[in-house]
Amino acid sequence: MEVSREIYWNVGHVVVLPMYLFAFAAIAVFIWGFYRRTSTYRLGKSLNRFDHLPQRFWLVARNALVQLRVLKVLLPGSLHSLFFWGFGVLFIGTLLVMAQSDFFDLLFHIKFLQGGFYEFFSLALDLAGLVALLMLGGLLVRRFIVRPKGLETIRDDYLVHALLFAILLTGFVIEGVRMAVTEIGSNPDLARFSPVGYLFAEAFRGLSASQLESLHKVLWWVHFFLAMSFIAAIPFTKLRHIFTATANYFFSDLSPKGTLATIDLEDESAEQFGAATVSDLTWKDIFDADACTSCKRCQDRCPAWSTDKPLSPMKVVQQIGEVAFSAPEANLCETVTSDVLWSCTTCRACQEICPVSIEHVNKIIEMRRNLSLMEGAFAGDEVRTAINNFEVNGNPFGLAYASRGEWAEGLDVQLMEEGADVDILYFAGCYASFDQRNQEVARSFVKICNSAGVKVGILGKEEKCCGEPARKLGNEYLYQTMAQENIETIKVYGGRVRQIVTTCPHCYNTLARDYQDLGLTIPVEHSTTFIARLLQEGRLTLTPEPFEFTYHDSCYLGRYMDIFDQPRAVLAAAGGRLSEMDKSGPESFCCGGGGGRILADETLGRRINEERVHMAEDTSAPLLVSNCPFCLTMFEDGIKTVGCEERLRAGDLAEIVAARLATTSTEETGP
Amino acid sequence: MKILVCIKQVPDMESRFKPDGAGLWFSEQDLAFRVNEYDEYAVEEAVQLREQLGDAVDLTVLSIGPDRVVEALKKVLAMGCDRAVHVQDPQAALKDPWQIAAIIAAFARDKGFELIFTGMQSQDRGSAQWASPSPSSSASPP
Repeated sequence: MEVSREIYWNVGHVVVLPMYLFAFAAIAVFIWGFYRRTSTYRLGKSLNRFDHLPQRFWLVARNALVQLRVLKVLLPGSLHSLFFWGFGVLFIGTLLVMAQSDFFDLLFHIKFLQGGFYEFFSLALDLAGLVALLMLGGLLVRRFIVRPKGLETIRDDYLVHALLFAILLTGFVIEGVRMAVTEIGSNPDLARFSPVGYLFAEAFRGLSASQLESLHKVLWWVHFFLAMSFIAAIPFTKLRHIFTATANYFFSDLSPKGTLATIDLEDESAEQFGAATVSDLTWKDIFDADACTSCKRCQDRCPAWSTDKPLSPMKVVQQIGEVAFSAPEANLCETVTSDVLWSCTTCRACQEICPVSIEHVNKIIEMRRNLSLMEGAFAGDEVRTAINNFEVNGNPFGLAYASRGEWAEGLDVQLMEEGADVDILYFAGCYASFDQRNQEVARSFVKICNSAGVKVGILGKEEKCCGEPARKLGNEYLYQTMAQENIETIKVYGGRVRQIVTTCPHCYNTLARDYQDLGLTIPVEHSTTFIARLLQEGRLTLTPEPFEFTYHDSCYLGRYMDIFDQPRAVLAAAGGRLSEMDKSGPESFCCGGGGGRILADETLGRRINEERVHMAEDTSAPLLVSNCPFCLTMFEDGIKTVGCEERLRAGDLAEIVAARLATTSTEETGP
Repeated sequence: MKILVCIKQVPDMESRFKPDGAGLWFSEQDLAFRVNEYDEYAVEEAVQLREQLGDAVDLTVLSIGPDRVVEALKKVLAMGCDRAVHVQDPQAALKDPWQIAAIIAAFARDKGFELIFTGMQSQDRGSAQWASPSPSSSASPP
């Protein structure tokens, strides 16, 4: 018995011509549907996302074919990925049929869908169809019965579910009907390789051969037109993400995480800074909106949205798309609203989880730049005061700049201007310099360095704010002013500064990455990894003392810099026993202080820091360790307003380590 | 309509003040400078007036003092003034209100300003003399 099947069985080769005509028509609609969108993408500014091609294709392979980003959220991700692979196998199977019957067999009389390969082909397609059908069922249950909070269902969802179900079901029915005539009775051995088709064939056994043949003819065309509708519908429905998401992986931002375009403020011809309309954004920002699948993973993780603030990163991205496609001249910031824009803590949870590599944060910052640089707007009067304070004294508190180095009095620290030779330049930052609580952290870090024999230099009153909060609030002018002053100061000591260390992740990100655009090339490190290395190299020895704690991954050390293991290792070496919070590592929940929010009053919704303090409380560990001055400030505050001082304290990693130095007796340096 | 706004750059009041070597004024070492707060109100008032009247208004801001006052002028340009005038005078801090008023008058006399905005007084010296709308000041300075 021949191990194969007759292609175009029952319908005959007469279908080939109309079939291809309709197929080309569907493909033409598909191409036209996407083509008419490109003019809207072109509204955006140019941006080169065609460099590093091998890396870009690799991203497509990993994320589109292997679905790595989709699988980051395991349950719905698995349903999607298995469906995708199942449907993909069916698509490839259809292409193989096409390749054999209308190309290889037609022109060269070559048939490969026979024998053992046909058996494998038949079984693989049958199982792929089954998996696709089951997964689609799972997705249907999730969307229409479980209805996860925040998941919005629109017309497209009904349409796509109906279409996909109909395609898969008619496919199996056609197979069953064909098998009922050609295989069940006459070739049962082959039927075993189509187990699902076999079940359908059994169901149709009662019909006569002629009835089966007429049914088959009708269903064949129904299935065909459903499949063509699917292709034609792609650009006009959510299905477009099949192509836009794939393209979005290709167009990923390959620069270091958190990179912002450094505006050329000297450009006399520039009339607009930041994004007032969609045409001030890049084409990729508009394209992102087309890649969005409304999966709401970003929204679920947004600290602002989780605390009843109006910001949803998903909605911002979609609003940009809506404006671009319907009213491209409209004022973007007014559409999105300034309450939404100022709510962002730039924590990057949205961007890190996005299954289709959308870049949310920079869009918000570009719009903030318009608010700040063009409209002179502030996130609040308290922010206006803080910005003024930066301008005058280089710190947000308005304290005399000349007292910036006073925290170090009595410590073994060199002032750079006094000409001493140092191993590291400690860039203390505003909080460690002026905020009493965070001065403890600065002192602890110096003690650690002293204990390891590392000579520490500071800039003292020559240091200014790194500019990070101002930059994230959209005030690029103030950022660049302070950054350039810092860089000039550091360059004066260039020969003597081999390495810069910060205790603040915001300073760290800014000096290590952003300052490169302005000409700083000295290596910059955060104290956490610096301490970890001192321990590893044996230059620092600790007397471990057992303690229970939970660790908060700050956004700018964790998600932005992927530093997750070293702080945990250091704290373990200090004798700590870690109880992880519900949200940790790359999924950590912001303290609420990022994106310049540390300077702003939180007037909308619930307080983010209290939310995080509750999560820490839930671990029942008595100590919440972080390594960021904004986090520490937010937690000290949150612990007081929640009223759990009895059960929970906040501390910095440097304080824990400093209290356990082997060479010095345990001092009152903190927890 | 031409408008003149006169501003002074003063030390930030959070700074720590020490007498200068001559014992006449404060030492400028370790001081941060800013726009005199009352003058910021004057600038804001002028900018708001311009917003009402539109482009017909030409807003000039003037400051007297050493090189550092350029920073204060930049700041008020950013607030919305059209042009800035710096009267270079390293000794401005030692001049009395009459002398300062005379410098401004010498600059403004032939420029056709229709309105002059000033702050109530300076935060550092606090004389509140030349611009105060007291009866005695109605006589124009030389």
